[in-house]
Amino acid sequence: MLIHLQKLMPLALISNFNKTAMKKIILTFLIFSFLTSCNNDDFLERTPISELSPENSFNTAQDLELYTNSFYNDLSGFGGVIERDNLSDNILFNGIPNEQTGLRLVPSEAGSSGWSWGDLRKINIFFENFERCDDEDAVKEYSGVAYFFRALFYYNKIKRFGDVPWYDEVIGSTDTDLLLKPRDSRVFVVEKMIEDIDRAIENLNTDQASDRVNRWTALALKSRICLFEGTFRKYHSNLNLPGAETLLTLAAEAAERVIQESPYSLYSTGNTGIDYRDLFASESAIESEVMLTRRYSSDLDVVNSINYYFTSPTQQDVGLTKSIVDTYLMSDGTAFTSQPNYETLEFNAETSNRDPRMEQTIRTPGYTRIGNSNEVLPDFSASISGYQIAKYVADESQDGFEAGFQDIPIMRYAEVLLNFAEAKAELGTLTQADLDASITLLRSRVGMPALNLSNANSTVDPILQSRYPNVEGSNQGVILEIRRERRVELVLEGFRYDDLMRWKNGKALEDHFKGMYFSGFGAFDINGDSTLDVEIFQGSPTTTAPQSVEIGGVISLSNGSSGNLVPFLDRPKSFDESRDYLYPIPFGDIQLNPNLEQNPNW
Amino acid sequence: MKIKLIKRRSLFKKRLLFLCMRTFIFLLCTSVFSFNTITSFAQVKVTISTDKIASVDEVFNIIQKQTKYRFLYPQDLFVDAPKVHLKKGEIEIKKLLNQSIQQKDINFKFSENNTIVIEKLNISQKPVSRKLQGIKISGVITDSNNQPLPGASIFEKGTVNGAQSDFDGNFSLTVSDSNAVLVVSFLGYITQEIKVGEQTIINVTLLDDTAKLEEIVVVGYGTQKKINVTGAVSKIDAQDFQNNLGPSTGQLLQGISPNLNVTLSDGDINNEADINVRGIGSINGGQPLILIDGVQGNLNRINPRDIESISVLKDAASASIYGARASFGVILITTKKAKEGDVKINYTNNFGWSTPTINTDNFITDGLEWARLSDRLSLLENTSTYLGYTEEDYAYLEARRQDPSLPSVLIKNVNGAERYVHYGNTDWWNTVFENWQPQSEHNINLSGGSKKINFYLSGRYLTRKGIYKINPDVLDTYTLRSRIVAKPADWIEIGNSTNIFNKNYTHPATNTRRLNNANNSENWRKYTFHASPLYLPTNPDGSLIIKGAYTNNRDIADGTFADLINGKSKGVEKDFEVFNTSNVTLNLAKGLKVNADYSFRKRQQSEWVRIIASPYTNQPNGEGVSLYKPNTQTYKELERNSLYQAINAYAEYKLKPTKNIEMTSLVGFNQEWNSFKRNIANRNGNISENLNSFGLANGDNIFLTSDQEEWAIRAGFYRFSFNFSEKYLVELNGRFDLSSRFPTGDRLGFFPSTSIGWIISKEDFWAKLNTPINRFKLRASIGELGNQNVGAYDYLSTFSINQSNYIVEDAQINYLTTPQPVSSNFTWERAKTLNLGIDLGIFNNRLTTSFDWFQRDVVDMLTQGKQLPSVYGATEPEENAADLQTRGFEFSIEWRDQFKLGNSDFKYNTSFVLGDSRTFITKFDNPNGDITQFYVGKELGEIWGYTVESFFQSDDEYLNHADQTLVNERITNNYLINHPVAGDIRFQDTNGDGVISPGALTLDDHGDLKRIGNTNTRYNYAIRLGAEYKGFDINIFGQGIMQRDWNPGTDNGFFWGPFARQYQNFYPQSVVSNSWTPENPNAYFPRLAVYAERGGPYEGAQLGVNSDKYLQNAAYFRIKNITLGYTLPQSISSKLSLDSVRLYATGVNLFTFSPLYKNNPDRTVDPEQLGNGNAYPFTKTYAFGIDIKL
Repeated sequence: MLIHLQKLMPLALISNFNKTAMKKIILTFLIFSFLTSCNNDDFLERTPISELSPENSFNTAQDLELYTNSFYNDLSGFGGVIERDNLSDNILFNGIPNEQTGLRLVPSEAGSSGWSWGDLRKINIFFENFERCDDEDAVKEYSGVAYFFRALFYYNKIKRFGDVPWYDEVIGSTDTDLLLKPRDSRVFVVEKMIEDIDRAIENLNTDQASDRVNRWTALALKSRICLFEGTFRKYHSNLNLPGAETLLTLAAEAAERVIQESPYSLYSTGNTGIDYRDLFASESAIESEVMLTRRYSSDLDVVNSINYYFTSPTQQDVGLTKSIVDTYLMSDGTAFTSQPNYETLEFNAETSNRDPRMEQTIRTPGYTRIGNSNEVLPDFSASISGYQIAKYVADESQDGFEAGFQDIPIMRYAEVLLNFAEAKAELGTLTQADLDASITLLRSRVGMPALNLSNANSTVDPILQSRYPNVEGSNQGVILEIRRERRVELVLEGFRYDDLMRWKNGKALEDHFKGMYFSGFGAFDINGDSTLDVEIFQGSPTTTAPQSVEIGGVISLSNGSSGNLVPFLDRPKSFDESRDYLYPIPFGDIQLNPNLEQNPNW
Repeated sequence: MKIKLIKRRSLFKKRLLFLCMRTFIFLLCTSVFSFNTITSFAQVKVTISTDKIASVDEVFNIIQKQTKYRFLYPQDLFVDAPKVHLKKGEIEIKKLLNQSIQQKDINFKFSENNTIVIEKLNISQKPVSRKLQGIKISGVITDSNNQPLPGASIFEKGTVNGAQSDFDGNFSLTVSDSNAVLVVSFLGYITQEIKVGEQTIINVTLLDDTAKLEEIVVVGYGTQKKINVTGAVSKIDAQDFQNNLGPSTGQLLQGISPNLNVTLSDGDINNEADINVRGIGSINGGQPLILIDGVQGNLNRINPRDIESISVLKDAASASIYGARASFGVILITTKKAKEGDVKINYTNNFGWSTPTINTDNFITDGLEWARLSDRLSLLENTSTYLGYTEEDYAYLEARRQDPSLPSVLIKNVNGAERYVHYGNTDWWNTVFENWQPQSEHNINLSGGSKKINFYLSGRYLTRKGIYKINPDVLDTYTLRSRIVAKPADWIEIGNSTNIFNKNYTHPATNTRRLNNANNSENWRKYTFHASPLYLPTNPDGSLIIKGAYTNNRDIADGTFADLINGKSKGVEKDFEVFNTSNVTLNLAKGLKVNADYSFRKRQQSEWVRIIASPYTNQPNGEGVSLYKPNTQTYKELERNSLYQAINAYAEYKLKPTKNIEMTSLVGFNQEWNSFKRNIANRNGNISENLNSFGLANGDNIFLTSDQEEWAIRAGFYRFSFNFSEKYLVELNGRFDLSSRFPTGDRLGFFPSTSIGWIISKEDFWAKLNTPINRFKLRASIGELGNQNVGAYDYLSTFSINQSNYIVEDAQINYLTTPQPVSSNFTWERAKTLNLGIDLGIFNNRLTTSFDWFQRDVVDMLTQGKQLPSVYGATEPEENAADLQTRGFEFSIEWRDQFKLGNSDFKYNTSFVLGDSRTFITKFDNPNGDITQFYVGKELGEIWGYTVESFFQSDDEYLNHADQTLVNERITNNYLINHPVAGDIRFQDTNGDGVISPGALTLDDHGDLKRIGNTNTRYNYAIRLGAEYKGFDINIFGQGIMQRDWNPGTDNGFFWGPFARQYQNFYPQSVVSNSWTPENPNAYFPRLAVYAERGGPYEGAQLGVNSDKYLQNAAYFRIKNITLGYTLPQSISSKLSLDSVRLYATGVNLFTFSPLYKNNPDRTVDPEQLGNGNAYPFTKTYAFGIDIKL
């Protein structure tokens, strides 16, 4: 048909057609050449332009610093330090942790509830790459940081789970030997940890900066780890773990090195009434004592809610327990529990003439907020026991949610002193000189008399004795006093639960913890200023006391119509000696790795 | 003035054109055609297989196919000839030709080889009139716009007796008797049959046949006749949504096409709609590919009125030409082209007001009532009240209730200072939020041109005011579009189009607001906290209050209300995009066409947010004023730039090797590349409350980060289609894709598809069936698509610098992130789709319906690899290790018709669409059958939960019931109890083990859990009704879903009210009265208890765990749009020198019906929006406007 059409067309038209055809060909050619011009071979090679691959990094000191900086994120802050005491007999709050009720369950989800290993992988990636760096000083320093954090990682693991698998390399997704490895014994793991921490001690610098780890923090960590493990093995004698003594020796030695070689000292301005308080409420950590800190800053908008937590209702309403309040000595160095009727003293009498650390830890009569001279009483709506916390609480401007910016000490010199004394005492090598170089310093900061070794051992406090029934031997008395000192000095710093575990004192968690004592229903003047401050009532309040506590709701009185405030009295508490010293491994992980054995009786 | 001039000239032109055309038609109608030779030719018969309307060229094709005769004539001789109405059956060639070209001044010459040469005659032949006995009918044929339709055919049914309308639409025809039926037809319009009866004047209005067979549908890289489409393609005409009111195109598409699911997360004026096609594409999510005139673009950044039509490619066959990005469907948007002719101008506007769809009137705003309730709830779980108001205060509140003239604020000495104590009844919602939010929209477009060049130009301005009362959020968007098409010769077409989008969004900010709109929902959550109605917005001296006198740490709405009222904190988002496409089309030879285009899209977004801490106090005389969270005071900026470029080049060749076979082949090339860069910076220490610059910030907290990304794809694609006798259709599509998002060796993906169609109604036997079904088409397709919806560098293990919260030496340290492991075999996800479809046209296409069933298997989905023991220490690298299967269907049905009502036409149409899909996992490595993960057989969206038996009616009842400690954990931890008490939920111990527990959360051991519902929307449907009569038009559009389960979830104060928190604001009053008490033992909710809903879905609080009782039926039906319009009569609009004027009023989201309201009688939850209530509410809108054409 086309042919016929062309036949019909005049010749002129045909030549026109050819011209057009030429144009068409040229245009088509142009399009094709345009296409081929953008056809370069690496068009599809789009490598990252604002990210690096590991092969291109770990080359310089700065690379190593930047990578190890990520480890510091793993340091615990509020939750792992302050809030951790909620697990222990130091704190009453508006709930009972499962650790104390026996209601802990085997978690189902793999990797949950402490069985997480991401931080270790991060550290081991460092060890697989750091040798690419030529800067020997940097390699030494930053590998020291990495060893420190690996030891810290495993310390937290063995504390929680006992035996855990040891890994010092990055596990590949197909590396079944490693993935399905059974648990290594804690004896083996602790050996490896000590190797790590020794390398950290050797490699780290000695600069005194509380926001970086250094040789001294590594030594302090070593004393902490070795004391934990040494006493754990000693007191959990049923487990027949060897080497307790060696570990306690290592703990004492590490602590002693800090005491002798390091620049740290206890913070003291000589003002025994506020130095201890200021150490925790200070906006900036006091670096002469605080060896490692989690810093906060209003300017940088890195803030905490510490004041809010301790001063607001509907947070956890935390307060100290009667048991730790009783632990504070009288200011003359005698035991409060040797006071007549110590159990039924009312608040004002109870808190008079006590270890000055008490008034710097909880609100006592005459308490004023920092920066304000108004006396304020414990707020029963923010503290379920009535012993409302004052430790860490900074001035009122930081009271709001996420309005606080005081630094949180994670590791401080006082702990090293306590570690030293305890290790020595447990070893039986403690001398009065050792005590004077440790416990006495802590006491004299707050104006308390020194601890005398022979007195302590000759007059054993019966209350402490009953609290720690498995402490025996010639040093029993001083060990108990060191434990008292440790509990008081380090309250709310996250040690108490671990201490009870290593001392095999789990049964101490079984009691219903008590709060403040009241002789009955009615209104009370708790600070002795002759005005009624708080009414303890059933049904509805009958006075106009500004505060009131209802009995019969959450809170009971320990003797029914009188006694100490006790929350959740009808909820059973229990601690299973054969099981509860360790946490269960998630069910999911045991399913994924059949070689992983569950902890006993879980 | 200018417009008037143009108008006058165009009127003159129009008249001239009229004159020419009239002459032409006269000549045609009076010409005669006769055969003077070879009678044998004249007597040869041909068979017409079915009734149809054909062009003259087609008539010749029919004759050529069935006889030995060939015709030779100039190609364009019959181009403008009217169509011919062919009746089924045998017909002599002579008659056929007479009928077809009787009106042409044409001469036939016989030459050798049975070839007939047709020539145009210069001299008109003498007309021969034909007279018939009977009734003479006359009338006018017009279209729905009352424009005359020249050239329409009018036949007496069952005869060849017919006529054609003239240029003014007039016709006259003499029919046999009054029983005769007139068949009026015109291409592109629905054929109408009219009984003659006693009428002699019959005026007929023909309706557009939008479902017509000849309709052109835009498909990938081309167009097809709808009848020839074999894939699952829905076409949406602009008119289906343009009368609706919606801020963006995305929202307008809701419910328009079955299984085109459009959802909005909240009612934020700056929010854009989410779109999915055919349900869940992949566990990794994924959006449909949206192409604007063939180039990827954003639906929401083009003016809805610039859209000509939209095609939704739903199955693999239609989408596989887009290969790697088309697994979740493709939406092709075709914008309006200029029309040749005079410049046409269209201006429309509307002015509207929006108000929340949720009811905000029933929140408790009585201070005393709220305080009493809050105290009661506080004391249930705490030792003290949260508010701290005393009985003395309550006595005063009572007194104020009696005597409202008493002051609402007293000064008291509290905590050692004089302080304001508030006794208000503040309606916080109406204090900070506007009840009516104005909006307006203006649209103008111009188009016109000559044969050689034409243009289209449009502009839109939309402004919306948001809900904030003080310092309101305002959205202004400007869209400008231009398109120029030049045809320098008949074989070349060159075009260029530009779309410019400019958005400016101003919003108030609060201390929690972040950049990138990121924390807006957090703001909404804060709005509901601690804002007791007791507190007044300000103290009597005008100072702001954040903390009440008694409770120093309770911050009213966490300080956000004070920030809103203070009005110093605000932010602006700007978005500017230029999208330009240049294209050229060459008709190289008959049937061979080459297209090439190049596009770029440059987008620049910038944002700033300025947070100024609000001063507040609860003390008089300017004492105690402090700044709220001064640490959040900062200035932030974000800049984001991207450049996207695309090249398409493709050639299409149409071939007709034999009479019955038509073949089209298309091959092409595509490449696209994109780069983006983003910088974010902030610095604290603003020294100005009103100005925004880093030059005015001097704080130490400086944050600066940047990220960049590039990706590229390159592809080749093809389509081969075969059409056998217009009955059997076969199409092959495919694409080779290379993507930079995969490692070098795994870059290539090949995605082929095949589809077939059978138009049964074109088979000879169909006519014999004598059914009203005039069209019957079956379709089937199968094909495979890819999904490259992964991060640009996901196949690489990389790390970058991040800022830590760890502070060293007064600065947050930077650190290198930990490189994540990647899998070595990282490649494409593939989606295989099988689609079966049927299209029907009944009663001359008055009723059209279509149904598609599909099955989509998505295989090799990238998912977290097989779960490894946790010691691995990282998220398992993604592997192509999971499969899922989606099955579903789409159904649509439409009826369009008209009849005479009085003297005018009543036109109406109604349609219904329905879509559904379900998705199941078919492969997933979960050997333990963990139900919290995917497992083989899991339906996506399924909800596991407990069964509720009843409430415990006594405190001891628990003794004889299974242990519920796990699911009552929150209550037993916070309250004085260790067991459920009267009014608590009694769960059913379905497995009889004496414990209500989730078991091991595995398929083998799921405790008392069972599948209780599914969160996915099922049976999405929409109904449309439209009618027109005497210039009035009405459109009603409703959309809904028939099935969806919803768990209100935690922190949802709008649903749970005081069960959420005792300090929650904005909760429905009815919750309290619907709660269990001994007097109301059959209440819906259990006994009042705060935090009762705050727990996990399996273990936790009694209302927090999923349970059948509190699972909500979130089905809904919503009247999305009602529009009433009135078009002024032509007589009036022409006096105004206007082509047409339409006034309209419209309402959006006016009525909502949902079973959800049964348990939410205060209607504080929107069944379409759902969510936890902490979000900008959806709105209903009333608007009116005008539409002027000139």
